[in-house]
Order: sequence, then C-alpha cells, then structure tokens
Amino acid sequence: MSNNLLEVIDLRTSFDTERGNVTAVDGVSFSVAPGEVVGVVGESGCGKSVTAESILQLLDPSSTSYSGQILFGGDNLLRLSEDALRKVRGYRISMIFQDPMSALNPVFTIGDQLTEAILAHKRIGKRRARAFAIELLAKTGIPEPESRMRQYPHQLSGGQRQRVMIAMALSCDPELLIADEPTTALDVTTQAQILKLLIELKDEFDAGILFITHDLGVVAEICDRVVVMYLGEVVEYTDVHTLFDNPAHPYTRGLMASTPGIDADPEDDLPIIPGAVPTLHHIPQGCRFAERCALVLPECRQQTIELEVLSDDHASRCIRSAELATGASLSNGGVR
Amino acid sequence: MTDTMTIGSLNRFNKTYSRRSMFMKRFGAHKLAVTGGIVLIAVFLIAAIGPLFAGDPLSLNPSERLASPNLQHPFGTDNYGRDILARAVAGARVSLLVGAVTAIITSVLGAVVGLFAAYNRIADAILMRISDGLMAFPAILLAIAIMAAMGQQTSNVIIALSIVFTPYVARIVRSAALVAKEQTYVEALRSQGASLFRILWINIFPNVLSPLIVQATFVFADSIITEAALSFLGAGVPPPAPSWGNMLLDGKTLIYNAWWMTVFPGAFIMSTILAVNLLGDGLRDLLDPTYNRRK
Repeated sequence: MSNNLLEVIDLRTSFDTERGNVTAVDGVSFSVAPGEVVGVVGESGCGKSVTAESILQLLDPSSTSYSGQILFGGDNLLRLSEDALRKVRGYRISMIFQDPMSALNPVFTIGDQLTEAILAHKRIGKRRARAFAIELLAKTGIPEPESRMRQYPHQLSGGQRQRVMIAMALSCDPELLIADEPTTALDVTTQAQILKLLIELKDEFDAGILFITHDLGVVAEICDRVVVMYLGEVVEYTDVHTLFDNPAHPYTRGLMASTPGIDADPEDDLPIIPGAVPTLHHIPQGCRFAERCALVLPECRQQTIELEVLSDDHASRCIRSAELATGASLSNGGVR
Repeated sequence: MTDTMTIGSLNRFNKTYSRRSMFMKRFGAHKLAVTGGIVLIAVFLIAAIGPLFAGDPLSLNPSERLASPNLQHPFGTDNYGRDILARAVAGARVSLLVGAVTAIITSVLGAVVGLFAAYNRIADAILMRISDGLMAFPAILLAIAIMAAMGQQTSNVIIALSIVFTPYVARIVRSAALVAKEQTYVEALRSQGASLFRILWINIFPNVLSPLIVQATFVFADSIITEAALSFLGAGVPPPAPSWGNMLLDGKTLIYNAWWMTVFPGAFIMSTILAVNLLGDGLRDLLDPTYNRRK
C-alpha cells in the first residue's frame, strides 16, 4: 500500500447520450499524496471536471458508468454503496465549484447553510455549530462574519461566496479537497487571494488538493504536480518544475505558448493552438491531438499512442517525447 | 448563557421581521393585489359571520314568493320565498370551503408528485403520462364523471376537483424543480454528502414555493368557478343546500321574471373570482425577483 491519499487507476467514465455512448474520461491514472497539490490542466471539454466529479460520483447515475479504480483510504470508491459513499462525501473528501454565484442556495442565509452542513457532519448542538460556522468564516477571511451569517447569497460578492464555499468544504476537516476551477469566475485580485487562502488552509488542515484549472499561471503558482489532459486522456504527467522547464508533449507546449508573458510585445499575435477539441462522438484515430499538432508525423495517425515514461516522475503520450524533452525546437518538416 | 440565548433569539426575530416587513411594503404598493386581498377578506368575513345575521337560507315562505328586492329582503326572494341574501351568504361558505380545501389538497399532492417526478425518471414518465391523460379531459367533464360515479356530496365535489387540478400544480412544481436541480448548489450539496430527502425537501422545495403559491391561488379561483358550474348543471352541491351555482340554476328559468335570482349570486361569483385572480397576479409579480427591475 503506497502512502498516497488518493490513487486513481485507469479511470474510465462514459455517458449514454442520445447519439450513443461516449467516453469522457478514458484510462486516466494519477495520485495525490497528503499535503500535495495536484493540478489537472486542459482546455474546455478535456474531461477535467468529469474526472473530478467521477471521484465523488456526482454525475447522473442513470446515464453514467465508471470503470477502473479510485483508491482512497484503502477503499475503492467505485465499489462503495451509495450510503457508504455519502460517508465519504463532505466528511473525508470535499469539493468546491467553479461558479460561486449558483453554488449556494438562494433561499437560505449563509449561516443557515453553513450550520446545516456542520450539523449534517458533526454531532454537536445547534449553538455550537453556529459558533463554529462563524469561526470558519473568520478563518476564510470574511470580514464581520457574525453579520454575514444573517445575509443571503445575493448580498455577497463572488469572492466572498467562494470563501463561504471553502468554509463549508472545510467544515469537517477533509483529507482531500477537490477544487473544480474555483477561481475561474473571479477577478484576478480575488483569484490571488483565494489561491493564497487555499494554500494556507491546506497547510493548516494538512489536506491534499486536487486542483482543476485551465490556467497555467495558477498551476505554476500553487501546484506540486500536474496532470495535463486532452480529450479524456492524460497526455503528460510530471512535477510542476519539469512541466515548465521541459514540457514533453506538443499540447503542453502549445498551452504554454498561448499564455501571454509579462514581457510579451502587445503588438505581437499570441500563438494559438489551431482548431478546437473534437467532440467525444468523433474521436480521431491514432494520436487524439494529431489534427491540431504542429509537430505531427504520418505515424501519429496510424497507431494508438501509449503514455511513455520518460523518467521517474514524468510521462508523456507522444512518439516524439524523447526529442521534445531535450528542449530542442522541432518542426514536422511541413507534413500535415 | 442566558445572554447569548437572548441575543440569538433577538437576531432571529429581527431577521424574519425585516424579511416580512419588506414583502408587506412591496405588497402594499401593488394596488391591484391589495384590492383583491381586501375583497377576498370581505368575502371570507361574510362567509364566516354573515349567516348569523342573514337569517335561515332554507326557510320557505310561500306568501312572499319572488319578492323583488325590498327592505325586508334586500336581495329579494326566490320561487319558494327563500331569502336570496341568506342563501348567497350561505353559498359563500360552500364556495370558499370547496375552493380553499381544493387549493390545499392540490398544493400538497402537486408538490409531492412534482418534486418526485423531477427527481426520478421512471416516476416522471409514469406520473406525467397520467397527468397528460387527466389534463386532456375538460375539467368540468372529468368532474361530472367523477361526481356521477361517487355520488352528489360536497366532499365528493372537493375530491373531484382535486383530481382535476392536481396535474396542473404538479406540472408547475416539476418544471421549477427541474430548473432548481441543475443549479450548482445541488451538486455542492451532493458533494457534501446530503441525502436525496434533504436535497429535495429541505433545499429544493423552498425554491419552488413561489410558483406553487401562485398556482394555488389560481386553483382556488378555478375550483370556485368549476364548483359553481357543476352545481349549475345539477352535479355539484346537492339542493336544497344553497351554493352560488345551484342558485343560478334555480334562477335560470325565471330570469325574465325575477332578475335578482341570477344577478346577486352571479355578482358574488364574479367579484370573488376577480379578487382571487387579482391577488394571484399580484403574488406572481411580487414573488418574481426580476419584477422590480422590470418596472
């Protein structure tokens, strides 16, 4: 048994849709150690959020099927009954969401919702739960927590609502916190404050964090290790330093190139990755990224590309990984 | 300990007080809703205490048959010499009883059916097909069929109307719950380990309360009308007990000789329905959070 907090092995999540069965997460494996922040990066539609929701199995059970293993505290979460799973949700694994505007119930006060969450998980009296809620709000840096308790969600700003969500997620000392793009809907200053708060709280509670984002700047700031996803597959998996120094997958390189640097000339066009993520109904043969790849070779479309291990903690799903990892600048000699 | 308790309960009081006073203020500014509310309260008062003053609606007086409105009988008398005012006042009791009880029964049943359907696909398919079937019948026809099967009694009128109107409430609740359940807070609740019961009844139910209340007022109005129509057709509240509908029926054949037999119960029906609809429209505006911005 490893000392990992969470170990996802060969996770496959598929949906029954009106246009047939689609696999949104296809053979994804990664792990999170206690106190570690693991980032999951990719464009919209890459399966990041589905991966996060699969861990707690929050997707519509009537149309979703899972396979693989999600090992957490010695249990395979995919094998647990709904009742046993509810004992994990909110108690040991908590989640915060992308959209703080609708993540709180509009008809209840902040205090009622926080207290409800605490009472659901802890056997304490109502008055102590309220006091604890105020304490949690103060911890997340909300000014005047006592008066906030009596306010409704629409009276709070986005950043404050996200702090309330974080307070709620931390209400029962989770071992793992899943953050699904928690700062995407917030402005940059608030984003920085929330990230700082998450790191402080992680250290205080010694929890692991699985951080879903599309923002490489955020990854550089808070993650220890990174999983890069493309169209349901892991395309690169490594620690954050290797990722930024020696990206070994053309997709990772493309993502980095399309992030503007502080010293970039505003007159220059920002490099982009051409095209868009294909839909899950039309997954290309061979390398899934080939259509959009600047370094594509004819072989790329002929075989299924496996995740290639480059070093102890670095893997990439590209036949040219070895060349790329050296940092050489490559081209495909004009092949399309 | 005592101190914190007092502060806690004070806060609680303040909170509910301010929320309620805010709603009352907006309600007061909505003139049509206030008018409807006042008329409806007046009709309720008439139904509650009117019979104490208006005399016996069933006492026959052949010597005063078809008397036109006069001091002794302000609304005149009918073809058996019964006082129209006394009968209209007693009829208000029947109409409001039928309307209110039907509105309550359909709200409860509709909320249960609607929420359940929103959360379970199989239940949804079955329950909504049943309600499609019920809604395909004209309400009055279905009510007559049910009354014919179960017998002519006021309680059966209520049962028939509840069966007829529950699908309409259930539809509204279901659609509001379908919107609510896609909100992120429902997923957040699930991620917190909340049970289905807690999500559905404690968290989603308050979000569908506004459309439910509005629909209940319209059911209230519709049941009064449908009850009157049933009684008019002779399938509602059984005579000699007065109801607005069977008073119209009695007056129908004599409409050219004794206009007061139809005009007064008709005026009662019209003003009650108008009041309920005005109140319902007002509530719909007031409970819609975008209404103030629209104005």
